[in-house]
Amino acid sequence: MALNCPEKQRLEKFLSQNLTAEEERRDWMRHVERCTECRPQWEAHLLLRATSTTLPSPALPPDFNFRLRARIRRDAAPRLDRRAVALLRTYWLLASAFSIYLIVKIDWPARLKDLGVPLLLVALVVALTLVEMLSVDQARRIAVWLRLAKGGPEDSPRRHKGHEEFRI
Amino acid sequence: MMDDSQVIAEFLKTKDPDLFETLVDRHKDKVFRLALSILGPAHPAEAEEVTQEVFLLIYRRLERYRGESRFTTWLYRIAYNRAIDVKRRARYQRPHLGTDELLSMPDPGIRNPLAAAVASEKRRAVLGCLDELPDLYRSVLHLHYWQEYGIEDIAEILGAPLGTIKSYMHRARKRLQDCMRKKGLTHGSELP
Repeated sequence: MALNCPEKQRLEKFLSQNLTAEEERRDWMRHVERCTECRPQWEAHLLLRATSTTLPSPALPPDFNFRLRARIRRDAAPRLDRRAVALLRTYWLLASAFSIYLIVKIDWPARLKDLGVPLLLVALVVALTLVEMLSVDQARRIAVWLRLAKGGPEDSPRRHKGHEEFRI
Repeated sequence: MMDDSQVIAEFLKTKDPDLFETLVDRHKDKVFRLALSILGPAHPAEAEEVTQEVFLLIYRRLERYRGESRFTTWLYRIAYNRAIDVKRRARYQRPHLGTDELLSMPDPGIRNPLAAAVASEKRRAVLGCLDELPDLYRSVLHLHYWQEYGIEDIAEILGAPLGTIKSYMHRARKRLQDCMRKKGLTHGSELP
């Protein structure tokens, strides 16, 4: 927003420092009372200054660094867990593939084949593998979708609404 | 004393946690105050949480920092975006608490009950109007008036040119004043 007031330099100056000289004070006040551009700026400035002095000034607690260090250490640990999970999932996939291979290759008695036992076994292996591949979050989301569990705030579509705010 | 980029280079070579702590010590207060200016004066715990998360993120991503921009620009940008995310989540999870919580705190400067009531009403209106401003405008005003940062510092923190910050300040003050007028409360132009 560009101010058109010829006194905008003075406004800038007075917004960033206190007025000390009495004559300067009075002169500026005369201008502010007349000027429709400077007046709102000046009034808001005074309001903000007065209100800000009443606000608390919190500081970081002295153990901030200590807690941050602990958190960094904790953060490093789950990486190993993630690797272990990935490894376990790979084993599961290999074991499932091998089981299915065996089920298909076995020479099933005709009676069992007629009952669909090999197919059932393959379906069971596939189902178990799928469950094993899901993370806790994914399982929770499926449970919510199947209405087996209550949805939390994370699941609400409202969370994904767009926002109008400027983002750097 | 080593500057930030030297500390980072040394840290990436040695992984010495003390070097990372040097960076934390240098910048934690500014990051905290930036987070506070976005989340509001009634949320110091959330601002501290944001500060921790920002440094945790920095720790994880420091290898990706190539020094193309200043470290502080990168750091404050992450802090700003993180605080905005937290504020949005907080808005969804619960209604605004800030103004009411702040108003329950006594203003130590006023003894006369009538003056205190008027001041409290005005304070409520200003804080209410500040809450209504877009995040960026409110942050700029909080940083300047409450956290007492100069315009140059704010420009550095937000990674924007000086003129842009001045323009935000003008617009923010104008909007605040309009809001106050709508509420029938103006300060009058007496000088402090």
